[in-house]
Amino acid sequence: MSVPAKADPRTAAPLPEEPPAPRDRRRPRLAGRVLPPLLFSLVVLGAWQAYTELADVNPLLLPSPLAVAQSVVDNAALFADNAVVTLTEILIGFVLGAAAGIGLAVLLTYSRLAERAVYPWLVASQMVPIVAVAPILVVWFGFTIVPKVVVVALVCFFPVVVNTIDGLKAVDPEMVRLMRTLGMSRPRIMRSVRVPSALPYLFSGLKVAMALAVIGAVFGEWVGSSEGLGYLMLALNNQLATTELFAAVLVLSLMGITLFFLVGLVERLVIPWHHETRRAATQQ
Amino acid sequence: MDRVRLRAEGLGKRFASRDGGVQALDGLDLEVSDGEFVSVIGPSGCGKSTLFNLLAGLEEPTAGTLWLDGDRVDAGRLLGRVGYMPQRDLLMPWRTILDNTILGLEVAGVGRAEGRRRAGELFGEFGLAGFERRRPSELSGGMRQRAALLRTFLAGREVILLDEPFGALDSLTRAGMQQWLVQVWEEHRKTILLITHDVDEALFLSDRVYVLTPRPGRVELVLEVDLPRPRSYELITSEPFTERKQLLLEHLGMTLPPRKAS
Repeated sequence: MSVPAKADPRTAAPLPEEPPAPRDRRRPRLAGRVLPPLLFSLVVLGAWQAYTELADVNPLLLPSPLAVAQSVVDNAALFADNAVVTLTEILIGFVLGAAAGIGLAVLLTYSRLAERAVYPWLVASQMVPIVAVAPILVVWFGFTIVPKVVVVALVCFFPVVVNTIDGLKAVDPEMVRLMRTLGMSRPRIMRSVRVPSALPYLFSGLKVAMALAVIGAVFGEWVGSSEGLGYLMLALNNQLATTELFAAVLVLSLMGITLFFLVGLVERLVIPWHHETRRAATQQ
Repeated sequence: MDRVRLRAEGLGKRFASRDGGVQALDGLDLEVSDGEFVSVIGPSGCGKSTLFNLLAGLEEPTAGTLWLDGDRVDAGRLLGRVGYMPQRDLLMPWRTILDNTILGLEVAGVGRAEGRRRAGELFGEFGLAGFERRRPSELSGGMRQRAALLRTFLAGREVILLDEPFGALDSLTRAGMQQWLVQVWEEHRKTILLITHDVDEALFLSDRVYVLTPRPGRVELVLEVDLPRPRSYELITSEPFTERKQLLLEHLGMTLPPRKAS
């Protein structure tokens, strides 16, 4: 048996031979990510186009995809003007609803008393159908942008507040204890530990909120409006302009999808670590 | 070097509950001197975690007294003075490894740049060189534990508590970590109290081992580990080591199979 030599830890510390977790930044190639949805869409649209042509479907019942696309091009200015109106309602309502949601969530997390008092109202508020509230808003605020913004804010508010509360509470209690042994004060734990760990939850809430915001804006316009994509849909439907109606729906969908992915993009920029952690977890 | 850093006398902790409560610890005496490596082992349910929470100042004992550097202290005065490393690394996923290790320095008011410089100097020794800017999810379990240990080291506490730091690692990685830790400790001579249920780990690393009884936790045996330092891993198969190991196992209530004559 060899006599252990005087070890110099700086050079001799025998580290276990373990490979670091693979730093796998390879994502599916662009083609791999774009092709499947593209191909699937082509198949669906192709089948639709073929059906309308072969079965000679009345365009008042079901217009062909090509006709819908043509209508978007033909009425580009009309759709653009109304899309801007709806987009404005969505963005203002979304920002107001999300800000109120985050603010209330922080408040309720700080005070148990406030949470007990307010939370039932929070849930109850979601049981009141917007259908019933929206006309009253129109009575109060008239045919202005205000009732639409309020409807959007109302539908955005709930998912944000619930998710943020869950996020602020989901912080690992052991992490909090560790920070306390490091001498961290409670306000600092809120800032440095609770808030960052709540961000993934917050963004989940924001994504749901954004999807609801689009529906909220359209609904707000249906109740009382003279412009916007929702108003336009109603008007086109009344005129049996089915092709143009489909075109309006298409424009609205594209807008909604873009907004949704924008929230996702902001999420990736703000909390890149969240996706890395998730990817690492799925690799193990 | 014999100055007592942390001392517990008659330490007890009782958790009240509707059906009478649980006595987790009862009349526990323990001390750790400056630059000593001390381990606590015991069967599960002996209140090891409770003991650590008391020593870290996270909970108030229901009986007994604690001294830190000769001063009688309550939980409020212990909190933030005793370093604590839990079983899970608890690295913040949103911080880089480097910024995770400087947390203690940051809280102490050391600037980020200065903290990063000080931490960076130790990255080589902790086997983390080149991983400063990575995030925790990109590192293996062993590396994450070393980063967590570096975070605890850098917080510069008088006493460091390690709560089964390698418990979640596979046995080969754990053995490697033990060899590494013994050398790092022999270099830095930090005052360390380790909780473990790994008898080899306790003996290999420690100057003294406390064996606790099952609930309520009391000290069953104190063993001074007078094995020579510096230690290398061959030690754990040597006769003096296995003799002590057998003694510890007996006190842990393990009945050993009769040894085969060799």
